[in-house]
Amino acid sequence: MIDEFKTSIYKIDSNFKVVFVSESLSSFLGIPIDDIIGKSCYSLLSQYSSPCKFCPIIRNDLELKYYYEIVSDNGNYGYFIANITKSDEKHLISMLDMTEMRAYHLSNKHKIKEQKADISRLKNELSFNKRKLSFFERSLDKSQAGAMFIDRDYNIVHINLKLRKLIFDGIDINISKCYNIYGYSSPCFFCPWSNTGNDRHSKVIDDKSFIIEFTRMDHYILEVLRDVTKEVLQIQSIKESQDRLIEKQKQMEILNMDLISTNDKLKVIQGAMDDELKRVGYIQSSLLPKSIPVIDGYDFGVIFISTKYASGDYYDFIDASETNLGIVLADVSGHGTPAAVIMAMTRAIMRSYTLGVTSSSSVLSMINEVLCDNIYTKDFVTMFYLVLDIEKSSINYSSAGHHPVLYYDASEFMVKKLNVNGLLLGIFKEQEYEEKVLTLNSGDILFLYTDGLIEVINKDNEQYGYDRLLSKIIMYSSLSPKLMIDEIMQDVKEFTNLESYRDDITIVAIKKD
Amino acid sequence: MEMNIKESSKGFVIYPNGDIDIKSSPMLKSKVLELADRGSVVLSLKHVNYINSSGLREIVDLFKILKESDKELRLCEMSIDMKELFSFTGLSKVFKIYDTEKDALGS
Repeated sequence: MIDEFKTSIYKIDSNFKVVFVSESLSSFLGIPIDDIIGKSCYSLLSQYSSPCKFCPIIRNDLELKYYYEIVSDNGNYGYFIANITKSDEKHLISMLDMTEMRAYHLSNKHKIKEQKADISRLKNELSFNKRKLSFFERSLDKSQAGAMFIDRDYNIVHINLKLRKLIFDGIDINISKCYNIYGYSSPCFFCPWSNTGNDRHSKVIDDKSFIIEFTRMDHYILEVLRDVTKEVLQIQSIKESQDRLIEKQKQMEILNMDLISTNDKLKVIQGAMDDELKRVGYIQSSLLPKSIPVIDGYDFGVIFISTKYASGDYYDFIDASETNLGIVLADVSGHGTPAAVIMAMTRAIMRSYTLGVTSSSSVLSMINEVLCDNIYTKDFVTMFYLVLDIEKSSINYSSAGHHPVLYYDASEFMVKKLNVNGLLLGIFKEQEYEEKVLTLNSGDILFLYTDGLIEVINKDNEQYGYDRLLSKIIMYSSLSPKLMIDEIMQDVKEFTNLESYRDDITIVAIKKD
Repeated sequence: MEMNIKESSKGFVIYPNGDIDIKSSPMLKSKVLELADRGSVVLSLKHVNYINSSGLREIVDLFKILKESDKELRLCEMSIDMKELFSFTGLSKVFKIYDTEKDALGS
């Protein structure tokens, strides 16, 4: 019965000798009961040679708890607590097997130790995490971007200073839900909790432009708000200037198109003007003598070179009377159509006023009166007019500001200038013109020219000039007037070595046979 | 065309330099007209090589414009060729022409 309780019992006498031992103890110790009886308890259970130091029996206090920790020879381990009762000078000791309990206790003790360690570690971790959090929060507060942590329930776990400043302008308003920040009373349509993959959104809050970047964690979202108002304004401004530039470019293109079309029109007009001038030139040419006079005893030579289609030079042979031939060489100042018109006018006046008038000075005075009434530009006309008396072989001549006619005197082999003064035609009315007379002898030459001849320039800007012309006239004086003119023009061509002349050139030469 | 201008108590003297032709005459003309509003003007031609018909045209036009407001343009220091030009064109009787600048300013 006792054994069934797994309680080991033994009984000792007053000399600590075992008088009884339970089966369970005997089997625990691995020693037969007979061998146990008679042995002292301290040698049996504690391998002592004398009673145990703390034996309650010796100490005479049976209430004392006494613990055995026994490792038997056969390897059994047990932990017992002794309960001692005394009867008849004998003590009955029942050993309550505490092995499992102790093991449990020890294991608990270890566990508690571990838990304590865990708690301590967790405390450290917590403290570390708290410091870490504080560091992150402080770092977040220092951030130039607004930032907040949001949990699954849209609560703002943390909001940094910058965001407070951005949204509330530094005023401390208690907002607990993230969507309140964005001005909503329920979760935003762009909420990253419901729109996975949405990691960025732009939003205007109170005239400020923000870019919100979402970083999703398991239970939180970090929302970083950057105020991009300035950047947006800059982009807008760049866009606007770009638009303006594009607009300007368009305008320039239109202007350019306009210029191109104007240029085209101008080309057409230029063409028309060229045609016009050509026509004027044709008309003018038709106004010049078709042929040179054929008169016995006289030889004539003429050249007329016009730089433009219309010229200001005019020469003519007019029958003043049956025996008098008027020879005129004139030069209208200026060029082009106005000069051509004045030239045509001059011709018409000459042709209507000279008939029957054999005095060259009278002719010039009349012409001047009419031209003064009819020239409305600042132009004037220079004119040399001579009347050749065919029978008397004499001339009378007058000049209205024209270059002196050159006279080759064959008897003296020299050229003289027929200096005769008179005001340019068409400037002031009521002018008197000087008139001189000259008799022509055989071989004498009269050389009439316009200033275009002596003003021909070469590449060095030198003028052909009088002196060269005079020498050439003497050099070719034996030739016919026509050939003389050809030679002189050849010389002019060689002198200038340029493709065209600056001014019209007209030469009329008369030689007395 | 270069042009020097001297101002004295008796008036302005303009010294054109180079040829008086279709290119240079408009500038000379506007200068003469501008100065003529402030006093008498003398045109010294001592540095002028040549006057062609275009230049002559402008000088004659200048004379006409000045005459309308009873002003005159005096000329001086002409070369022999230029004197001949003014002589055969009859302009020597139209313009007041002096041998020296002093004479031109003095009268």
